[in-house]
Amino acid sequence: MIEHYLNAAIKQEQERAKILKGKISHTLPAIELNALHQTCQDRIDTTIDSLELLLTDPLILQKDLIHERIRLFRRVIGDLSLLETTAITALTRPHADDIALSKLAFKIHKEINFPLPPPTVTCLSREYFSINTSLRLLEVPLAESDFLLHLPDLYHEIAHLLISTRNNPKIAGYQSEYGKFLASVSNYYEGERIINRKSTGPKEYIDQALASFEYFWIRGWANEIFSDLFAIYTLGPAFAWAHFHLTAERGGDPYDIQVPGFMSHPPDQARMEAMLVGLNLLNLKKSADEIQKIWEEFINATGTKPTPLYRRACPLELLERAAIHALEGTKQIGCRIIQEDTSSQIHDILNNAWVKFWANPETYHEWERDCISRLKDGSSGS
Amino acid sequence: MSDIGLLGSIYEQLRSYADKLDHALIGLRDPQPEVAQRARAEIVGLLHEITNKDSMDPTSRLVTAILKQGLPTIAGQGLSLCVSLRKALEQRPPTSLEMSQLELVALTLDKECSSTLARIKGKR
Repeated sequence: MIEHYLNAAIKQEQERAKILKGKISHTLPAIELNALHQTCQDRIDTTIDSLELLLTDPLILQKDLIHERIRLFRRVIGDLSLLETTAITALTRPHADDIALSKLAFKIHKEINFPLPPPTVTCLSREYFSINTSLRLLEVPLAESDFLLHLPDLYHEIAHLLISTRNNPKIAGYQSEYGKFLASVSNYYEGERIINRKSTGPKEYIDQALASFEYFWIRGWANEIFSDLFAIYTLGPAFAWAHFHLTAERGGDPYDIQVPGFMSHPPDQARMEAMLVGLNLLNLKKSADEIQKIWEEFINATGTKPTPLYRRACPLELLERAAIHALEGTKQIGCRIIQEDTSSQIHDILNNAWVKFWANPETYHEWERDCISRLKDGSSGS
Repeated sequence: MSDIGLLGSIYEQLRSYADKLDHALIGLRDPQPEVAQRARAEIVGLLHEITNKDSMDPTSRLVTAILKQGLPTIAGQGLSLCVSLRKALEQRPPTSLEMSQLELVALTLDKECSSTLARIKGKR
């Protein structure tokens, strides 16, 4: 009976895939959407082929392989569903702002000598900035193309492609530095566990907490911190200011550690600490000091303080190692590392935006509106 | 990156690993000995990647971390189960007990894939 159900469900999903393909078979409004369009067409074909295999391969149809067949079926459907709710939705509702931000992503890619193709950008994000690395689709909130202060996050998002892309020798240096860092995280916590076992105190609780911290780092924190650092190295202080802005507007307790529990992102304080280490590694001490001063002032104003677990979860030693490995990786793939005198269109606009914001908050918005308008119509901007 | 983006990246890495393992488990049952042997070698390779403490491969490290968390609750043996399975499969085809243990590893990865996907789609 279940086999009959599966056969029918697979055929239904094949039809669904074909219908989705039909929905994106129209003339595209801009060349910037071509890559995403082609990716969607290819993915849909792969989905249909995978479903066909689950329907007809005599080996997979064996009764004792029903577990594998169900698991593979569900994952194919999961992929199709993700494609439908992200890339296909974006392609069926393209907007001029998507094109403008996709062009901006292309300019960033050229300016920093990014070794992978730039992503397509859509303004359909339900959350904050985010990238679907497999589809190379960067999602930003609807109004974000009309403001400059958060756009440094584009650099962070494209950095995620450097970790998720596979089998590409051009970025092997970056991935190898990332792998070395992950290994050093495991070694660090192994050392901490040994120390804990010899200590007096609540050994079992701390042991579990240490295991959680290692898991958090490997599952997501390292990826986030590396991407933050890539943005610092290729754009500069504007990214740290954008982190300040995001934390100030939408963050919670910057020291918060949720154990037991799960934290996908590192605490905001740890991210800022790593960025400041990164700026100092680039000899941008003056900027680092300015940012640190205002950050500390803001954190004091919120009244939050480090929890006892904070430094165990985010030791300076790991943050410093991350900064060193990320810098080495960024150098190895030939990306432009910024210096005091670096100058190029998008770099200057995004860094100047923060200078103007602090210098004259009253008139900043007027300047920003004019700058965005020139950026969108293709003239200079800064 | 927002939670959705990070989860998407984790899902991609897990999914590719889970698919490789499931396809290899299918290959193990192939009546042609050379296909079954290739599948066994593939599984040994996958298990080697996730039990190699010196691995610098980010995906392997992620899968290791996930199995380290997920396997104890299912199999009660954690990663040592993967080590013993790898050693056994290096020598010979799996016994029926080892086949069920391999199924547990595949199931753990699949559960993590589906819970990650559910979180991406807003079911938290």
